[in-house]
Amino acid sequence: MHIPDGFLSPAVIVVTFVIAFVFWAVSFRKVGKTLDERMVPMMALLTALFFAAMMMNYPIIGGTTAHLLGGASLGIILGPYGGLVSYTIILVLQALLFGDGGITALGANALNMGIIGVFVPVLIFASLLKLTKGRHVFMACFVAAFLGDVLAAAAAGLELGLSAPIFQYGISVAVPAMLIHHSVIGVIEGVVTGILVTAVMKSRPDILALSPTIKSIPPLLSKVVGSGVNKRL
Amino acid sequence: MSEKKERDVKRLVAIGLAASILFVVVGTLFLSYAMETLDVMAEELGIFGENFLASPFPEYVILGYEDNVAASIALGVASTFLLFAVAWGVGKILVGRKAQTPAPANAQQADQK
Repeated sequence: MHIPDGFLSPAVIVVTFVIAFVFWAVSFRKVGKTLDERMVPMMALLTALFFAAMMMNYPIIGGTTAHLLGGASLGIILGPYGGLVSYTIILVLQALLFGDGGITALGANALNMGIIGVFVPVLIFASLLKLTKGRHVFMACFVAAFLGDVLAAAAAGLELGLSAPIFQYGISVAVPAMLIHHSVIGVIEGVVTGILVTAVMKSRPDILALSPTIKSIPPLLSKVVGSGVNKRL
Repeated sequence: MSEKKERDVKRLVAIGLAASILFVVVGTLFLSYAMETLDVMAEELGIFGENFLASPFPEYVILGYEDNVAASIALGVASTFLLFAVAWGVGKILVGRKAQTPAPANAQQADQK
């Protein structure tokens, strides 16, 4: 889903960079206040893990491929600000070292995968678990990650569709194409996120108890704390 | 941090990095072919996006060793460790700021007394 240079119109480039800069400014400022120092190794680990996971391209529909985004997992475990910082590091190094995503499209790629792909799943995950009083964690992860991927793809399609005449397919073609194809990888993303979060919850509840996202959901936090976090803290 | 907790963190990091290396190996050996929806649409339209900055490792390969799987895996592993180090450094800087936040005024006054 990494958009290269030359696909977007100047107007779309400017608008996406402005939105990305606002989120970067807020996130880089707030991550220091919301993220516990003990989460720094986890942040480094998840950044490396999802960078590596993005190197695996899964065959989807009609000979096309897609890779995991990882935004939902990053957002749920590191919080939305930590998730965006982590994602920005991935995107910048992918663009500079490997030419994966253009430097002029960095704002758009950050908006799609780092902002929509992280903040939307966090909001959905938190809302669902508040509604269900901390039950159905796997299902909340699945729905959050699936919708995060699908909406990130839709945003990429919208940006491309708005970039006519450079990208001649309009919104009516670009958005559905991106949506349909990425809904397949969205299912895989949902399952992976569910497995990862529930595994961390069972094996290292002490880590999850430090997550800003989990802290914002009192019923889930008490469940995490109750599952043995005190023994480790 | 206690010795046990430090050991726990080291073990978790080791497991996570081992999983990352596994992803790189599997990605390079079996899932390296990439043809995303965006690429297909661009091909149909005859658009060939060319990045403005020349990257040192285009398409995740070392130039001159494009068909060398071992070189691609080595590059993937090295860049995974680079990402890990950069994220750790950035995290330390950003979270470290919190520790350097000045103490409240009444605490400073108490110190002066």
